[in-house]
Amino acid sequence: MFRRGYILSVGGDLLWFVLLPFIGVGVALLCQRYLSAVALAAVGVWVTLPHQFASWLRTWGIADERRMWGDRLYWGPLLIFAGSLAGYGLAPISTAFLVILWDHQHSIMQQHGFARIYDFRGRTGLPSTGWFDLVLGWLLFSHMLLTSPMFVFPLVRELYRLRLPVSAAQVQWVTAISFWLLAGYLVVYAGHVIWTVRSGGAVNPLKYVFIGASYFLWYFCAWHTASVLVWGIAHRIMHGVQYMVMVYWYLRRQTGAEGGGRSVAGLLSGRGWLWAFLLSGVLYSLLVQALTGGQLGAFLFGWARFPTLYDSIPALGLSAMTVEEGYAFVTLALLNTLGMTHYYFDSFIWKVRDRRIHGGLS
Amino acid sequence: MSVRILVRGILLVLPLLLWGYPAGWSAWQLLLCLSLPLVAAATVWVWTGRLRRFRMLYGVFLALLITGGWECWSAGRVSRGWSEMLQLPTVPGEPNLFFEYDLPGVEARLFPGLAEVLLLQAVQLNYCGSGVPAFSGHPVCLQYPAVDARAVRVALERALRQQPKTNEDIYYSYVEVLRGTGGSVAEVEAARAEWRRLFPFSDRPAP
Repeated sequence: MFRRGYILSVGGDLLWFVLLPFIGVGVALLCQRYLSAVALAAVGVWVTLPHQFASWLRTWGIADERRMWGDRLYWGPLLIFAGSLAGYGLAPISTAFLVILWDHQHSIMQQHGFARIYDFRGRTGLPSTGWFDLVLGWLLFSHMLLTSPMFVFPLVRELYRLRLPVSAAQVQWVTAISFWLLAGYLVVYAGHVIWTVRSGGAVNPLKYVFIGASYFLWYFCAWHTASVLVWGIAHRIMHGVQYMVMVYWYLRRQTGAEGGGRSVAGLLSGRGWLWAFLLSGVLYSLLVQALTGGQLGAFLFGWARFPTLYDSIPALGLSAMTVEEGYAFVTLALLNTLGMTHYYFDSFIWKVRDRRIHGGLS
Repeated sequence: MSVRILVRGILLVLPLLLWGYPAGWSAWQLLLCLSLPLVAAATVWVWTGRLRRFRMLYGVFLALLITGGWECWSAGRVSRGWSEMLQLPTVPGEPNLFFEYDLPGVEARLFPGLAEVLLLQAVQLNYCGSGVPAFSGHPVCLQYPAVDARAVRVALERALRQQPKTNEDIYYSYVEVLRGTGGSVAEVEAARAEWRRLFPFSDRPAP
């Protein structure tokens, strides 16, 4: 009935996939209590940007995979940057809205991907289990988006700004439908698990512990604190750290068979080179901050301010860069491009059903 | 497949076009009818053809095109030339969320006491108590028992007690309200210091 399969190992899974969400919530609550909003920016530069670097490394770092993904690797970022520039210029609310929605979709799919790997590693579930898990993830996350104050408040506001006014009664109606839809599906899902066992399949209990821990973080932060700071920090820690762990582990296995050091990815993920892997992510983060005029002080949780591209340097006769110069606009598009490119790459590089990546997963 | 969808789609919308044009439909309505089969055919073509690997980007850009088009029109950002050519209905531009719609009232019914909602109510209260007849006599102002500067301050102080550390507007507005309502120098300085401590990278001038 039960067959355990781990992504990394007993200890590794316990730390990174089960306890990490709880650690993330704890850190976020401490930040809310003792730090300013800069903590969110700090987590962004220490975790979120490096995890995007891991995505670049995963896609561009291995020659075989680079050939496998083909022109998507350069057309993707180019088209996204062009679309982002045009979008922020002509329809900023819609563009920002879309970026946020894509981010949420990406978060759902990452946890779904890990759940698939649990089934892959444990050789559990039926061929249809992936679809049942996918719908479960979408319904759980959507229910949170449609009912929690942290998400509904801005959603209603933006709908009004788009001249699509909704009444409080309509919102409550959507909440009720979402609840009953989710409750009904949970019954269906339980039926699927029972059907799996009865038809001779096995269930990986760790997958459900992992799903439970992940959704605990999201639901707790969205409902019980209704704080963007807590949500942002906890979510970024879980999402970014788990992603980096996964990429590092994948690259080690995938490049190990090829002799490791023959590629950048192989070198950075080789034994004894973890520090280089982490340092590369931080350097990437520094580079992005410098290019986009972001505050380098965010690396120190705002305890120090460094000159940025926006500040004036009177001694050199340089005036501050302003929004009017268009630089901030381009950097906004660039920052979003980096994020959206990461969502786009992840939409095709982690498909467990793709046999070409099984070497890195098994 | 996509060609078949295109042909059948055009055959489906053709009666609508033939009836709508003499009936005086606007150009944008006719164009929308015509574009539906085109979009459907293009979507199927991307999903099943050589460009299948870009289907995700296609979906994202299509969604952006639809919502962005709506946003441009509803915010009054479509140029006069395009508006006339497409015969678009006129819109008043950016909506006033406080008096044209009662966004604070709707949000307060959904999430009473939430810091962000209290900020919205404080802004609305500020308009209500401004003495401008268009605002102070508005029906939405009647829902408040008091509409003076003190009520604005009370609303913001309730919001601040929740420590909404990512909402700079609340902290910034509070300093301004304190100054406007005769707060003591110590109170204003403390509020300003708190704003600066929490938002050290803010580009706003010190209130």
